[in-house]
Amino acid sequence: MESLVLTARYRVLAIGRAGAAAVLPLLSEGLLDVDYAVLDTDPEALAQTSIPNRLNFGEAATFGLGTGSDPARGRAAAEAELDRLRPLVAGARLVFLVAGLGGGTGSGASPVLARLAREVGALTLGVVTLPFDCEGHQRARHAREAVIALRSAADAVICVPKQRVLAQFKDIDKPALTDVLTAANALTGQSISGVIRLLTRPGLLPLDFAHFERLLRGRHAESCFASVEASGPHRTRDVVEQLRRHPFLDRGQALTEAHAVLVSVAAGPDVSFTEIDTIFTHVQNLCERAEVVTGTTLDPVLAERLVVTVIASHVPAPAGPAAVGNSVVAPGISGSTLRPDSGAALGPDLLLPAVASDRTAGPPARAGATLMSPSGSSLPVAAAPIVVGRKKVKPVQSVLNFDPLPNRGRFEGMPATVHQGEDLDVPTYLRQGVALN
Amino acid sequence: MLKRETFLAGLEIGTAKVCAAIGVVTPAGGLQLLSVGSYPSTGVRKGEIIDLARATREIREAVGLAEDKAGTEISSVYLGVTGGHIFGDTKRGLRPIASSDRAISPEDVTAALSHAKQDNLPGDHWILHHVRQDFIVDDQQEVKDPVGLLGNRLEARVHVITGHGLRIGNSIRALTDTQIGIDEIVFNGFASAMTTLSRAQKEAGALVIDLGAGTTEYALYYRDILRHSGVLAVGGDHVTNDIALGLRIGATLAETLKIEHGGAFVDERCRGGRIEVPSETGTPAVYSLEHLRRIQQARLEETFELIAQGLGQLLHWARGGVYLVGGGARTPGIVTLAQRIFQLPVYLGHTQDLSGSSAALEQPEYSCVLGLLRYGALRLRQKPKGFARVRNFFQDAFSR
Repeated sequence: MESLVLTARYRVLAIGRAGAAAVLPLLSEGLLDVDYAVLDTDPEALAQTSIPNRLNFGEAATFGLGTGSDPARGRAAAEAELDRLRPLVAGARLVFLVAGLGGGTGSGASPVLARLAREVGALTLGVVTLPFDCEGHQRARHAREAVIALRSAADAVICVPKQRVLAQFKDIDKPALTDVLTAANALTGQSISGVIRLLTRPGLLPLDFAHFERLLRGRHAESCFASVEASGPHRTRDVVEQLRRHPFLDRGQALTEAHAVLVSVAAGPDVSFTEIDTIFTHVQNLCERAEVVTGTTLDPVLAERLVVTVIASHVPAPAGPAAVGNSVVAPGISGSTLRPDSGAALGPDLLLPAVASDRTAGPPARAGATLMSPSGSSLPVAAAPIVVGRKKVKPVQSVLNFDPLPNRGRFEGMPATVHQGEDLDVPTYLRQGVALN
Repeated sequence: MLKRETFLAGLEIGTAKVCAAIGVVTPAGGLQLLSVGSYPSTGVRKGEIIDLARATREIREAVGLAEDKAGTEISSVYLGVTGGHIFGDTKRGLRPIASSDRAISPEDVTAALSHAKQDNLPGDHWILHHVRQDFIVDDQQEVKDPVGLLGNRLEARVHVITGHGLRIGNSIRALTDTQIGIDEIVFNGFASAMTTLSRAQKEAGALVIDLGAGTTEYALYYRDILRHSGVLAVGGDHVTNDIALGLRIGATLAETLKIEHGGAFVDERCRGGRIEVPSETGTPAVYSLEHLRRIQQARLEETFELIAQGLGQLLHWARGGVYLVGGGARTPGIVTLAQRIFQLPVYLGHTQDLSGSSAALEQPEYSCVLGLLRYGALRLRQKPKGFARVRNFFQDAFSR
């Protein structure tokens, strides 16, 4: 059996059936410099997808029958064929691992691939969905264990709990199953395409891979990213509104508490300066204590559409926050546009809806400031980092703090209760990555 | 000789409360609860004493309360201990049958039992309890009484509960200044099970989980035999701590929110729910009910999963049911959550076979201290109190 050889700098690897479903919509996005591949232990599932590069692995471990939802088999299958999997990540700068956790292949093989990708020096991001509550206890546990394994292996892991996607449909009487799944896949896909677009399209206010990497590298669980898009006359307002409610960003809370935020706007050539200014200003206001890096890209494909990508990081940059600062300011526009107080450009259409929508569990911050960055597609704008002193922002929502010295609260300084390598004094929800939105 | 009433007392130095119970064994042999004295505990974390002076003070208070209510004074207690250092393990002791007729003698049984007890015991650990399970004679399993049977080898299975000597010693030291003697030292999980399960329940197979503030103890019975026991140094304090860290609030407020709004899992009703806490400035602080529940659920689920893991294959013996006691059993929805994880019937445990009018009989927090009384009553039946008084614990501990 030969293995696939991929050459592009950016790789999107779908692992297992759910991963393939999530990656499929990306194929039509027309992204540059990306290779897609799908891996599965079940040849039948592979035969059903239209993703061009397919790799069936683990025949020795599973006899070609799939893993039967056993993550241990998924892992064994991947570990048995490291040499075939390595070419998938070799030479990559950035690897997305897309999987649905809870079953066998995705849960078992993703951490192995993440390790491989890190070994070859690629920045490794996991984008994974977590099972619905109704899928049962067993799958939930597999998924939790897989998230922990993936977190320790990858640079960042984004979890999309499908149950939370369901919340978007709460006003609909009987949401169709396919609609819910499509929505979950769309969230995953948008975020990936937003990031890739940001990196590959020429920027007016450019953001490069270095910015991106600095925000994510080595931070494991503490980053989150999201991408939203809108079109029409109120597109600025819409993207901001979408960001405010984006499940990946904990409905905006992730931004309020972030230490560093990268915002990229992608749009067609028709984008106006006011629009960009408005978006940036809102994001700035939202992340009061973060260093904000902004960028803009033009992409003719996006005519009429506006795509905003946001990446938020919850821990100070390893090099110290000061280092981030000025070096990132894009030439020209960004420096002057990005001051939080330059809000004069705020269109009324932006402010009002923000107030109106405050009914959600959004942060109790000023209403006008609750704008989230839309998921980035074609118009990444360069970021101007602004370091705002650590104000006392009232925290409403916890952040996944995977500090090297874990958070033990009242058990600080006491002998740890270690059980199978885990310190049980550290809150369970932190160790298991239970997302609080 | 006229039988007299015998008083006895139990003392639990818990993480949330120090708690003393006084009972009396009636001439008819029944056990009656006279009083329970409970005082908030500050010197204990995760079931172990970290501040001796405070613990001593709080013991005095709790015992004083109980004595006042009972109208009697106690001179010694059955002392409950717990902590992450305590382990329950089933051990085997082998004895080849050497007699010419291959009949098993009482001496063979004693030897097999003592081999089992001493098997693989770390030097700094003490044996708290050793409970005989059953014997294997050659290939014959589950023999209750092997004396007189013929065989080539006799194997005894004994469940041994051990704890770190110095850490148990801390509990003893807390009592030295109080002029209260120690009848015996008892593992809390053992005590809780003792008062929660009836003989029929032990026969059918049952698991008792005591969800304490600092620790969670469990004990598994099947065919009226203690099959397994253990402690996780994780309890309600951890839930509170998780909430405090997750919602970024102080431990006191976290405890209040847990008690007033907590629950074992996230249900539809609390999605998007908010908890408003009035503040001095007029604008109430708002916290998400869903986050609170999610944090709590994660911890409780994990605790149950760790117990299930620790029991492994043995869990199927608990077919008769899982009984939850301890303060954590008050958590709304805890039964449903436990059912989901153990896939067994789950009930809230109630104190059995104990008469008295105290409200403590109905409260899950007191199952452990009441269990200490029950343990004491059982021991008194085995040997009169005069002998039990002889404090042979230290002798036992060091004479190995």
